[in-house]
Amino acid sequence: MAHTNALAGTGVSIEIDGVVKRYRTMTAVDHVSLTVEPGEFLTLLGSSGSGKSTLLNIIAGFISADAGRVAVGGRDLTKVPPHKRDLGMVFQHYALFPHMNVRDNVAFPLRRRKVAKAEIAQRVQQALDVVELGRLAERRPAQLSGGQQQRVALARALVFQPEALLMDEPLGALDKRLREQLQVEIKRLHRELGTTFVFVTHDQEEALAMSDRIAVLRDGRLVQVGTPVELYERPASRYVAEFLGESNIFTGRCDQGTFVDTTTGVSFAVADHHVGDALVVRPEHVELAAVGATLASGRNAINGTVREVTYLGSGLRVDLDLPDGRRVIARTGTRGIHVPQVGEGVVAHWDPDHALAVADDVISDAKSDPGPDAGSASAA
Amino acid sequence: MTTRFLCRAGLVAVAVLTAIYLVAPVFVVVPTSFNDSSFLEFPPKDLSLRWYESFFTDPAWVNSALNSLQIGVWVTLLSVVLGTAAALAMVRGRYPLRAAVGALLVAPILVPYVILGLAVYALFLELGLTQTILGFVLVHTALAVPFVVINVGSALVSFDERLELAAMNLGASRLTTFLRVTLPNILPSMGAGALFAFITSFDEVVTSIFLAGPDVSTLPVQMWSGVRVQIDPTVAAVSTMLLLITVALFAVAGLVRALGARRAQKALVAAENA
Amino acid sequence: MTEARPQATPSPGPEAESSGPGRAGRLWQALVPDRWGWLMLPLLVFLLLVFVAPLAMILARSFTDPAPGLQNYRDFFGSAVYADVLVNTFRISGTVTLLTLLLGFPYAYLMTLASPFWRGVMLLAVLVPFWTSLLVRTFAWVLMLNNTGVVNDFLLSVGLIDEPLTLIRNQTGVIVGMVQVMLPYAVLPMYATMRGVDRRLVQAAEGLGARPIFAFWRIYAPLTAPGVVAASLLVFISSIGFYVTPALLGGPQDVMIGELIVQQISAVLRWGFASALAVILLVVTGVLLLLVSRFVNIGKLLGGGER
Repeated sequence: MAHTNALAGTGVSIEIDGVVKRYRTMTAVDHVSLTVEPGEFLTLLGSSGSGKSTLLNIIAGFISADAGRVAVGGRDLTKVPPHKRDLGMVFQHYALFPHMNVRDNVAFPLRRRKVAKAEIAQRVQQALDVVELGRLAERRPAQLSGGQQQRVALARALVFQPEALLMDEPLGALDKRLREQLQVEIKRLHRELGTTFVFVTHDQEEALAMSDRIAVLRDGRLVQVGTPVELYERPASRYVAEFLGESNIFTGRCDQGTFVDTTTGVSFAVADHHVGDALVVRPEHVELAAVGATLASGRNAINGTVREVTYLGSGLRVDLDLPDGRRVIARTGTRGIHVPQVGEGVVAHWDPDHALAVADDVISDAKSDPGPDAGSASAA
Repeated sequence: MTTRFLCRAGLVAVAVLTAIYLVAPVFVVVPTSFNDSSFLEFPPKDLSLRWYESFFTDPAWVNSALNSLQIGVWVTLLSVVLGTAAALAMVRGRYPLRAAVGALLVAPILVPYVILGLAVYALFLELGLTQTILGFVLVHTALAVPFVVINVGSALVSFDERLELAAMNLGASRLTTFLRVTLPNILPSMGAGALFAFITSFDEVVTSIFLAGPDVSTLPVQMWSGVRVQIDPTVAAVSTMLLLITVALFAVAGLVRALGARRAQKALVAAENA
Repeated sequence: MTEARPQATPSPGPEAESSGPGRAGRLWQALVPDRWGWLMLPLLVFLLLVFVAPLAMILARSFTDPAPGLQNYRDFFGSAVYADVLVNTFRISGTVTLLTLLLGFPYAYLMTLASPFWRGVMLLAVLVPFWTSLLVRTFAWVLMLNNTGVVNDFLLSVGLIDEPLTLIRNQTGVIVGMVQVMLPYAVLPMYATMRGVDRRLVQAAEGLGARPIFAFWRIYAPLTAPGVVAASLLVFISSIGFYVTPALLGGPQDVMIGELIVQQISAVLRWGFASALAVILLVVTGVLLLLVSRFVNIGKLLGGGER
């Protein structure tokens, strides 16, 4: 990738400060403040209607905010029209110009910037080489596959060395294998270019796999910002816990290191400093034991009946029915453990350090839906 | 099974007769135009080109044809400009009385031409616009512009406006975006609208009959009097030439479409192999 | 809840799109065109001058020429001669409509059954006359139908008749010519509707025990009704305003209202009366068009590459 440097940008920061966007019936973006660090890969994650695309379009200048300001590299862009913002953007369905071939598409931003002809030819070729499409320069977009169109869109957005690259669900239209392949490539590009990337997706796996940091949005509000590890291990609320990865959720009260499940009255130990109405236990922290087996001291335990055992290759997923009809999910390895049978009574247990009491922000809004990819399995 | 077969046979018979009824008369004029006698025989006994000669040597015919061409070109230009602007406003803009304006835009082709002819004649008499090229251009444009609005409007509806956002994001101003991205994508529809507009003008008889006179006439008006008063076999020659133009246009359109289809097919194969 | 997409046009600025526009703001938005909206103005002005103004003048003139009052309308409705013209117009238009449906419906239906190649041929047969100059077609009928024309020659040679039939300068000529002109306008909307009908419904009905003819009339025909209604109204409306074909192929007995209007101007210069006739024709057309618009989108009918 000798040419990659040709596109290298200097990563700049993006400051979003108190941005508000209201439509007639809803507030799409509600007082969002967020700083994207120079050279960072930040993902705006949320279900549809969360305001993530609106926020991205405000950064790009396609939508003007009702309040707040956006600054890129310290330059206030609030009043700058889109064509003078110098931000690269990859659109949801690529938005390649159908009447131009690949070369002209990629040359478009350079021509607008009145770059000399010879230099345009050279930089376009370099950009196409970076995305490995040099031999398809004469093709029209309609003559390319979805993955190829995606690469052209990337080349076009990067060829003018923008201060930052914005991507609006860029992989949404691709099938799973291609998506994963391009995820890797986009990560590689990010690493090699050093440009600031802002990526919008509703796919939590994609967000976890690609981002330096993730900003979770819900109903126009910023819910939590953090690294993938932080978000997964220390979700700030039940919504975040359910949106990222699978969780077992118990609802109840937390007091002085004890969490009391309000439905069953069963109490669990949690770390002292925790407060919150929802207890989150990730399935990989739930272990299974035969009824009557001795557990290490201090572990939380709950009895259940095996409902389903699913072999996942890397391990097992076991669904348990609790006596009160709720469900708990455990993920375990396949070796050296008790492999349960369907219908068998077992004990599910976990280390209190792996249980997290968080604010229960889901029940209050019964209509909110974590979205199709949230993959949450609520036990509560 | 037999009743169904009989039904189908009957259906086919009706359709074949209908097709002959639709097409055959049109082609009767072709052999007739080569008739040698001024008494229109079919099939002609002796062949000659005298009626073509009569067309090209008679200043009345030649001038009316040139007028029609000139009017058609102006009408095409005017209606493409006015119609495209209106289509942009209709699809993208906000303006009061949308329903009424929308109805007004298609009204000229729905109102009987006799009425418009009479009305415009009355007005143009006062303004001194009868028997002027400008007069014809104005009326024909009113009749032709709805076709441009409809064609360009439907192209704009299906145009992906994200392309414009992309262009602006990549550094194009509003004007550049329109010229480099929007316009090229609606150009084929503007072309179709222009073709409709030209043909509308070139074919228009009724309103032209009102506006024409001995000084300025159009080809359809000339043909009209060639049939109306006493049958002039020159009309057969003119008709044949007009038919030839129609067929040629069809052939070109078909060829373009066929080439496009082949290119698309090749492109698809290429995309799959790449 | 839907994701807030970028607006159709990038919003002009915070002040225009700002939160909760007041009542005055909303009124302003409704009355004042935006940036794109102004582009309607040139065509609007053009049509007001070249289309609306002349029609308004005609309307005024029908009440004022030669003297203010309803005299022109009284003349029209008070005379049997003019009533005949109106009846004649409606009768010819009705006959033409009926015949176009009788020929057009099976034709359009067969188009939906035919292979792509034959469908293309059938479509071409409809489009060729459509694209051919009206005068060429009318002239062709003059050649075909006169006493020594192809039709009479054929009938004589076969022995069906002993002396030439009079097929032109009478109602037969008018109807033959008009049906040919109007057929494409009937076939195309009917074909468009039929193409949208799911033929499996008919098969399903037959599978449920309906006889084919029953299934056709009770399932297929009702589903194509919108197209048939649209086609017939379109043909009827166009027919009542016809001028060229009746004038060239009809005789003195078959004057339609369009011809009468021209005669009033070219022969007797009765401007007021001609204007009144035009207004009557316009009103009839308008009422019928309102009726059509309840069934179909007129713009759609005229678009789609047809004219």
